[in-house]
Amino acid sequence: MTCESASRYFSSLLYGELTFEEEEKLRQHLETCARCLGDFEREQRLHQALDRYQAEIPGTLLAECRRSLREEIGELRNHKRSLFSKLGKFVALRPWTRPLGALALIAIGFFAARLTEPGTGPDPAPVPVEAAAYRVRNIEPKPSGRVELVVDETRQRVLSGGLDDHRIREFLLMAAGNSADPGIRVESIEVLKERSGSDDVRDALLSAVRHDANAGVRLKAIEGLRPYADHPDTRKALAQVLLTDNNPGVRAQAIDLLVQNRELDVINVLQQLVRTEEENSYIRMRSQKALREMNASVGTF
Amino acid sequence: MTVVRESALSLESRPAPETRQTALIRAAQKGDELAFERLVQCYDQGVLRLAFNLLRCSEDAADVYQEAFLRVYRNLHTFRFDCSFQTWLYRIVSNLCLDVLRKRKSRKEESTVLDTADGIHDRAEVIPEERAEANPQRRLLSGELQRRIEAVLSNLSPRERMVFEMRHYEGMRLKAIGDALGTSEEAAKNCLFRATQKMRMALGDLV
Ligand SMILES: [Zn+2]
Repeated sequence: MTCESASRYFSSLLYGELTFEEEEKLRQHLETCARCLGDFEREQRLHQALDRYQAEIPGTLLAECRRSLREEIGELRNHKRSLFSKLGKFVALRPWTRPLGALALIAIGFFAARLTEPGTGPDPAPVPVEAAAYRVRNIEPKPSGRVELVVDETRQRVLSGGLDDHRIREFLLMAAGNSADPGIRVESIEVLKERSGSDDVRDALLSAVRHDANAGVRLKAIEGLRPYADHPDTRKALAQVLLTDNNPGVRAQAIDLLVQNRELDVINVLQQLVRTEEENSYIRMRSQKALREMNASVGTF
Repeated sequence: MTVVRESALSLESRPAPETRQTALIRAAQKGDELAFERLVQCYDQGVLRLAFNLLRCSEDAADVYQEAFLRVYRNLHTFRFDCSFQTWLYRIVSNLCLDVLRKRKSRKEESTVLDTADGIHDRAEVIPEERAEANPQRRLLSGELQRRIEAVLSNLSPRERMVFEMRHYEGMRLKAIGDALGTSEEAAKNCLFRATQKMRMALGDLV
């Protein structure tokens, strides 16, 4: 490598853009050529000076930008909506039963049409069977035992029916497993757990206990499984929670449920926890307490 | 939908970044407001930093930010995953920034030609006065060095400035820069080389 070609590589080396071979050659040259080494060190100092030239974004600028973007997009959305209502296709009468702001949403997107209260307008078109093609936005249990759902398709609509209505059930099961919004998942489970005697509902609860990313949803699902605490599947899921869940509240709830029945498998799990739980002393103490209450040995000897 | 639920939108889940990002984009394309907001927030600090560092003016940077994400909002449905989302976004952002730089450059050249006969030299003297915005970071540099850096940066071509900015301050790979600017990695590399060459020439005696 010549001095001239070496100098062409300096900044690429500093930017980490050389191939292994190029870098090897350059490093070899720098070891034997004092002049190039001096030039290279100057280039490094230049880079450092340029680093310091980086501007700091003024404190509130990012927040201001985010706010005005949100406003602008909100306006676009409203514009779209008013176009639609002018078309007379949809009637916007109902305010959201749940403030969208709580979901930290940018107000955009769907044409966000609200339909009339059920009964006051024409019946919505029949719901296609594949609920999976939709997204449940809102769930509202009614005193009569009916449930009202707001569902996105290309627009939103209100569905209403009992828990034994297979369409309603299907939407709720879908929302419990698939909604992007943990709040919706919790509410779906809250409603569904009334039917935890059905296999499909229990499967959904077990799946939420095992896999839901949100601790609140997992807690709610455990609550729903309470009447089935002695079922082998439930116990297996709870034991898994006890050993692997990262949330102490969820694990404590799992202990409560498991110790409802004094069974050997529970005792084993608790003893294992007392032995191995190092991170969370609360869980360890709780396990010890549960074992004592069950008159079981705290150690395994 | 299962994918979206598991990987995209719960704050507590931490899947591989690519999967998460893809799921966010898909959800935002379907009109999910929360996903769109999250998507914006994955990238908007970088976008604002690039625009501000490049343009050194809060209002211009905020304009670029706003326009860039509005374009993303309007055109997200056309994004087909044939390049990375970052590349797609930075294509929009860099075009907007280049427009501002080019406009400034032509304004400045017009006024310099009017003001002096010896354009290039005088431009370098004039610029620091124009950019007197306070910036605490700059105090770390000696006054002379700072003025010279400002002068040399503003004398880079808009493209050179953009490539330098993306590589030096944003840490983007040359390949990604080339993609964002609609050119090859090699062309981006040459552009960066010219930029650093100019800076070495202008500043070498000071460091
Ligand atoms: Zn040499």
